[in-house]
Amino acid sequence: MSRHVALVLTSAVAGERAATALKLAERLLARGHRVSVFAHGQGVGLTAGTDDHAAAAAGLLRRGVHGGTLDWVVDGQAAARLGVQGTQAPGVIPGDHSDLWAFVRAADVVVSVGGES
Amino acid sequence: MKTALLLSAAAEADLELARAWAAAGDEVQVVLLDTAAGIARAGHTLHDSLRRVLAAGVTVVAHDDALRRRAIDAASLADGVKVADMDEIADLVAEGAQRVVWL
Repeated sequence: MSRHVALVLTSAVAGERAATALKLAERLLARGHRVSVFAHGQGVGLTAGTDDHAAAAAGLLRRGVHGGTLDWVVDGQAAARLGVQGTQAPGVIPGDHSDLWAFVRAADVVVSVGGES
Repeated sequence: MKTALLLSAAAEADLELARAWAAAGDEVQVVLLDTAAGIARAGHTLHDSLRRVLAAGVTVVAHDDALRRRAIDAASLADGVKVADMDEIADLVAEGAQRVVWL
C-alpha cells in the first residue's frame, strides 16, 4: 500500500545522518511511497551547492520528473539567511512553514530527522 | 501502539526512552543507524543498557550499512540484535509503525 511520508529536516542534519536520510527517502520512493521533504534551519544547506548530498537530492528529484512522487521544499527565509537561496539543487522549491504544515497534514507518517548531537 | 525509534547517536537516554515506552505498553522497535549502530557491537559501553532494552521486550535492529562501515560483523554482533537493510527500514517507517521518532 502506498503511503505518504513527510521527512522534516531540522537544523544541522549533516554527515552520515544526512546520507542515511537521503537513502531512506530513496528507498521509500523505490518502494512506491510518496515522500515530501521540508527543510528548515540549517537543514536547507543539505541541498545547496555541489556536494554529494545536494547531488543525491537532485538525482532523486530528477528521477521523478515524469510522474514524480517526491516534493522537496526548503524554508526560503532560512535559505536567504544562510545565503544559499540561489544554490539549491534543481527541483528544490523555496517555500515557508505553510508548506510544512500542508505536508504534515497530508502525510500518513511524519518523521522529523534530528540534528547532530 | 507500534512505535519505531530510529537512533543516529549512541545515547543511553534514548535507549531508556525505548524501555520506558515498552514498559508503558507500546510495541517498540529500535533501529540503530549511523553512530548508534556501534551499540550493536558486543562489549560496547552501552551494552548493559542494550540488555535492559532487549529484556523489556523491545526489538532492536541495526542498519547493515552502518554496521559494515564500523566493521561489525555477525561474530561481533551483540546477542539479540537483528540486522536490517534500508528496504526493511523503509517498510517499517512507512507501514510498520503508528509512531516514528528519529533522534
